[in-house]
Amino acid sequence: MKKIDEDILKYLSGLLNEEEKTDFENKLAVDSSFKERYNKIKDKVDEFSLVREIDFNETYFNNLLPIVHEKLIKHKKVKLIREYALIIPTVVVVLFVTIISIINRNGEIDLPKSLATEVINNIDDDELADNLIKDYSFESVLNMSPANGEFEIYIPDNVNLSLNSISQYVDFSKIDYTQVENISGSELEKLYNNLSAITFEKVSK
Amino acid sequence: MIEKDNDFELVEKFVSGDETAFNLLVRKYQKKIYWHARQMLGDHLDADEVTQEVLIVLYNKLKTFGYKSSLYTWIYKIVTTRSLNQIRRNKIKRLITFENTENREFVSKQDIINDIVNREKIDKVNKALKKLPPKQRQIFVLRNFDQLSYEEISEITGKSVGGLKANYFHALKKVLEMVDEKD
Repeated sequence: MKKIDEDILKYLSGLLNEEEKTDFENKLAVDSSFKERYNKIKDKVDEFSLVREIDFNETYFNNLLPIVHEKLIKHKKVKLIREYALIIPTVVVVLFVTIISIINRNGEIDLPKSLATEVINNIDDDELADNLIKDYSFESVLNMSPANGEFEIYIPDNVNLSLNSISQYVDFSKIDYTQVENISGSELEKLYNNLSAITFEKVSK
Repeated sequence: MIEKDNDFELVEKFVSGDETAFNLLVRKYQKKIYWHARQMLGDHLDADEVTQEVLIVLYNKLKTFGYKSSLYTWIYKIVTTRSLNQIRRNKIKRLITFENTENREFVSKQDIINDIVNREKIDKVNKALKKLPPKQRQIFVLRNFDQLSYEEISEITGKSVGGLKANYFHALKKVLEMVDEKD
């Protein structure tokens, strides 16, 4: 490319500084061959931008919006599916982890509990009575009433026992145990359960 | 300025749920989007693909438009980036499939330009543009075809005005040399 053409392209590109630009425009005004060359190059450059003015099928643009809307609906569906595709495994993983942690936590608590329950279920009345005797002095349970000279069985609120359990320690033929006998079956069961609970605590510890 | 305000108004309407505002924006910018993509890619099918892609992006991203620039520079930024990406995709596709250029031209028979003379004109331009490196083509198209100022192109491409001028000069030089060779 000639130097002269390069100058024209520099001018068209805006690369000339103010001084160079003024010189260029002055030359353009006085030099006809230079102006001719400039116009020729300018026309060639403009040819590229004139492409904007060519006729084309407008139907394409009229149909573009419905096509885009259709695609947007599809995209929304796909997006929804993708979101669910992520949500479902996430929920499954969270549920799995939660269940596992609950099982583990329960396992930690349940293991000694189940062991203790096992012990309680297999412990017999004699052992329960034995526990009672060890925990409470004999006197605190059986008192000789000075008023009528009879034994009274005192059962602490938090302790229960069955009559049969203490039979081996106490000669029931010599005492008045009407009070104990007066305890109803359900109350006795309640006392027994209380004692079981005490034993359970001991075993748990 | 009025146009800019009008665009902002339409964006606000769309963001607040008025779908018709989006339709108006599409009607306003669809040709600019298509023709920029067409000049960049030189092919109707690719331009169509990019145009639809850009309109979908526009729909999904208008909510994030920050009103910091004019809407049309924001749209040009999307379309020109997408066009460059399409050029890269096509290049990779050609490398992988060893696609023949002749086949490509056969596929391109689908066009919105029906007139043969006009088609020849645009083919001539496209052939020259395709010889330019993509980034230089981008600047040439934005400046020469879209008639944007260097400041606007700088906003779209993130390049300095000086760099853009130099790039445009080199693009002009190459394009004219190619035209002269053919003449």
